[in-house]
Amino acid sequence: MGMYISMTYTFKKRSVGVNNKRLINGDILLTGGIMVISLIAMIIAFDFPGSTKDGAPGAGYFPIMTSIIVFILSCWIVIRGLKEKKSYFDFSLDMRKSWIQIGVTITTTILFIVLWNKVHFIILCSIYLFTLGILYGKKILPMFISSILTSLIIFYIFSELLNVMLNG
Amino acid sequence: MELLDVIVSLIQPNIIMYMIIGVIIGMIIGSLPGLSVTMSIAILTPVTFWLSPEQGLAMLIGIYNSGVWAGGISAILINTPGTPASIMSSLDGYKMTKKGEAGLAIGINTIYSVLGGIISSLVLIFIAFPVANFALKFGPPEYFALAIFGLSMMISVSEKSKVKGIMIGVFGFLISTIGLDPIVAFPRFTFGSVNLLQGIPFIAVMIGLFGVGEVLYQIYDSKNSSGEGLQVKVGRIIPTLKEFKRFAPFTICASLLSVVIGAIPGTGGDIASVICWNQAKKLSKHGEEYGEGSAEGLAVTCASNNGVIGGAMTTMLTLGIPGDAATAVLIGSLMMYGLQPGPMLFVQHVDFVYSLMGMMLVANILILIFGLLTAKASVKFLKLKQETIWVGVLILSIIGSYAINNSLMDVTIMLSAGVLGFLLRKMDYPIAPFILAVILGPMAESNLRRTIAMTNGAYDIFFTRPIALILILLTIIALFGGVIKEYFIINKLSSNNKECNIK
Repeated sequence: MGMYISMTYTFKKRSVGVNNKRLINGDILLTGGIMVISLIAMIIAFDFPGSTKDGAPGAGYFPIMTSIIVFILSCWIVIRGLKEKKSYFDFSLDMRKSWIQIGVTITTTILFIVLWNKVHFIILCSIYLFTLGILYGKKILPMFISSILTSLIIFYIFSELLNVMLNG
Repeated sequence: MELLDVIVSLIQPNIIMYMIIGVIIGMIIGSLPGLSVTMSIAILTPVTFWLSPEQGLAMLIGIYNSGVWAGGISAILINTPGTPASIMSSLDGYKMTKKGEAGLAIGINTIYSVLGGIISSLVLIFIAFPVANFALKFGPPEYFALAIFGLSMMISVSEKSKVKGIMIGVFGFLISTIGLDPIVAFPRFTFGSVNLLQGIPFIAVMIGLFGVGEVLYQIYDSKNSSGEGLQVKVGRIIPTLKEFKRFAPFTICASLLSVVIGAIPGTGGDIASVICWNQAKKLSKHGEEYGEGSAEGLAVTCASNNGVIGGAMTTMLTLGIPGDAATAVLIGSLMMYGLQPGPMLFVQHVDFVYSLMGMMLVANILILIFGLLTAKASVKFLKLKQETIWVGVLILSIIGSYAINNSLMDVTIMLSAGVLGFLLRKMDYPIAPFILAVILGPMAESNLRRTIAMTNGAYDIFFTRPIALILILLTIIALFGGVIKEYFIINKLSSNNKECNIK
């Protein structure tokens, strides 16, 4: 926990900075990523088959066209973001609980996917639901019982009635 | 008279019973985010194999109509559309719920979905052939213009930043190019993965953006709250007579327009609701309330959601071309019963066609009864604690995305889309243009390329074909109308100032 608090302090220092300037610029964070993706897509798409002699466009036509538009527009947004220096995320200490919950939710979901074929669905789903329930502040015993019951119901409905292959 | 006889013949306990089962299944599946109507029809078609064609189709028609209507319930109550068609319902519906008008929103969803469904069924019955003939005039340029127009409508809704709306919409088009090229089947951006050959599964993306993304956003927004359940007032369910009168012209027009849109293959409730909502916003005296919890706006989207069904069924039955994904699966179901959709169906099995048309009307009447009876019960979703809803949405999003193809890749894509959805929402990006672009991307690309191939590389065809030209002009107005309007207002103000100075 101590380590976590020191991490959030670092977050706060980085985001607000010494001169009260927010260093984590929201528009650059995501739009910059999209800009890079569009650039890579554009480079890859230039290797796709081009237009035929009679003018019929090839497989690369649409991806090149869309990636150019995305690249130009994302440049516009990034430049505007650099001027406005707008931050969309709050990394202050008040938000630590929310950030932990978001991080653990994503991590447990990734683990759920990774362990899908290794652990039986009912066990895995029960653990997943129980972990999330405890994370969101539910009481241990009711959550334990409801996780198992919910997992059994889900397994029965999807696997037995709808023929979805849930079994690990 | 013949149709009345058919409707009377439908009032048989066994057919009504299967239709009620279908309506209930559609209601459950449609209201659960991630479980699509198409998926449920596909999964339940083999179950109906042991029934007679009338009984089996009664069940499937019940699921289809009910599922589209019920998609609005989760959109209204938890801001997570159950089906793509109900994306627009979340705009006004969820804000009405926040304002304590959840009951009215659910009531409007039921009443106007049924109105749209009944009007579209009547159109299916009386003018099936003329509508199908009109849709036949659409060639590749018109389809491309229609896709762009649909997307521009969605972007024009994004009030905070249109540039971000356009960028994320075109980025959606780029994402839709992952997989096999629709014309020559060349693999693009698959990086050797077999799972990506079929492209990005848009249902998984939709579940992620609207399901997991919404949960993450709510967790972020909850800060250090104690985790109390949502305290929402249910309020009245039925609109007042004054409201009925006010909504009537817009909802009737939306239903009729949706039938035409639904008749065009490849389009669906998502495009219809965007177009109708946007046009109603521009024409209404209360346009400024749209998107801020407007009951009128919600009524328009609900009427258009179910309004497309009749149109989609029209092209499916008369031409054998599916109007949307659900009718594509229904073609398979009809073929399973030994019935080939197309013009000959109207000659060889005319009684069956009338039965099917009658079933559409009866299904809507059943939805009205069930919807209004269960309105209060469905609002009880909100009595659940916020955390319980989060856990429920997360697990259903995982299972729902897995169930599409029994593929973990879909679950991974769903989770990635969820994280992206959270980031987009936090950074004032509109999500709807992205998902609409992912859905419409293949249609837009293939038709654009076909058009250019038709003209040997020339683009003037878009300006010489009237329908395509009208759609392109409407697209320009939708995207830049606000800027043009502002320009004229500024010009007018400056000229007024000059006049004042001269005086």
